[in-house]
Amino acid sequence: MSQKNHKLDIRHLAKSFGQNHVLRDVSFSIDKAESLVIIGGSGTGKSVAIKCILNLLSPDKGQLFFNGEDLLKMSKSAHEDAMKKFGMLFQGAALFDSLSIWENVAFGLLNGTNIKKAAARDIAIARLQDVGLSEDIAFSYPAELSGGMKKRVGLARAIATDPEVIFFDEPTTGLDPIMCSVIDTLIIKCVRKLGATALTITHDMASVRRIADKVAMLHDGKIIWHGAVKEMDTTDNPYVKQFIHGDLKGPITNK
Amino acid sequence: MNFFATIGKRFLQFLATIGNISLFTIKSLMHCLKPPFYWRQFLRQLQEIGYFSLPVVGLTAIFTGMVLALQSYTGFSRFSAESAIATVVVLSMTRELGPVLAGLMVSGRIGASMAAELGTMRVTEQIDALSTLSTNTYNYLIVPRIVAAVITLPLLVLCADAIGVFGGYLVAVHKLGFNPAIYLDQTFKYLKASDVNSGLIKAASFGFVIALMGCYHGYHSKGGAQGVGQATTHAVVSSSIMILLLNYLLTSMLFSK
Repeated sequence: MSQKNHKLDIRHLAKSFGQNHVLRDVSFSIDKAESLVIIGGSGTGKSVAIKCILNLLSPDKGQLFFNGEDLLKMSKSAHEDAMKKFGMLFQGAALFDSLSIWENVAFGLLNGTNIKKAAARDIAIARLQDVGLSEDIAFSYPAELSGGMKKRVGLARAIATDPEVIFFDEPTTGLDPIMCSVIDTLIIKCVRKLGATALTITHDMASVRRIADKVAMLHDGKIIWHGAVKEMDTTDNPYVKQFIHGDLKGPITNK
Repeated sequence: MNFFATIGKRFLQFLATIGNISLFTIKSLMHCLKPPFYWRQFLRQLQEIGYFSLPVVGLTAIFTGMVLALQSYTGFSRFSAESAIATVVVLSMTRELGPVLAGLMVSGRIGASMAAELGTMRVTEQIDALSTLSTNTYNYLIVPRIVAAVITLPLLVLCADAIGVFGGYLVAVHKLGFNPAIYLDQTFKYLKASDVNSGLIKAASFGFVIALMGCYHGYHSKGGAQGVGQATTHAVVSSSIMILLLNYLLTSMLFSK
């Protein structure tokens, strides 16, 4: 049985692609309204871990407890209901280019609930305002927006259905430093406002310090260190040290 | 030794692809019966596949009908059988050339665009995003495309038949000096409903193949722009070959008596 107080409890998650063992044994847990950031180099399987939890990939082994229930052992309809409580901001925002901005934001509402179209549009516009975008862009299309605005729309879409857990896949990659701060601030604001649990993967250390309560480091398919964000600077774990300082020499590059 | 290893690897990959396509087909068909049905997506596809393909299919059909009349005249006039031209044009159009040429043109137009659109959605994570927004990707993306293609291809072929016969009529009457009334009479005299119907059955199955291949290759594309390009090529090549293969099989089944 899982501990009741964990919102999300991942145990012994493993996933391989052929001979490539991306995740060997990943275990971590997040409490309600907590923000965990997973750090790690490119290609260490951070995205794969999130995709396994969201059922976009099927894990080879492991247990995924959400509110104390194993997602992998649920009935199909229970699993669908559980999935409605997750939200995700994709790395490239992944907006649907055939739909207008408000339809993008309201997509989960229009397709997952019985809400009326006009009401969904009002919620979408309110969400757009939450992320600092004006009502005027609601009827434009994703191709007309800049990268930072797309990310914000993606964030509005991820929070539109009031999810209990939100995943952020490299939310600040490819943005200028000021836009990074804006997005990070919005993430904290939205998560606090919704009381949601947040799981972020990133390798942007400035961003980690802004949004994390706890940090876990993924390396070679395993969580090799985890702790509170304050402990990150004082740890003597050589991997974490090398990663946060961006040193060329260290255990990560000596392979 | 390496040579045989390569052949073996290719062969296994080929078998794996057949298996994957079969699974994809079964899964798509099962989702056709499962709610929800996305009407808006379906109507968009109807417009895209049916209405916007009309010019291409129409042009193909009219020139084919024209050249058929011209070529059969060259042959038939050598043994004074010119009166058979109208019958040859209408039977070739309805039974073979209408469905096959419309199918090939639509596969280039629609199969390619489906593969490119779904492929881009795959590599920009839009398909993943759909799943996270509690939407079944098969119901939302695949089913509307397949159903729309199966419905619109026969309609397109019906238009192609009519336009092709009209092309033959134009050449016969205005270039070869046939009497319009007699030509039209000859056109319909030996035409049976089964000739048109068999073409429509072919068209519906070609529509299914085009949408299936476009969706399969797009949905499973990998690795950025190059992957999307490959998916598009595979979609058009595989659906064109399957159309020609299926055409032979259906012809031998439908006209086996």
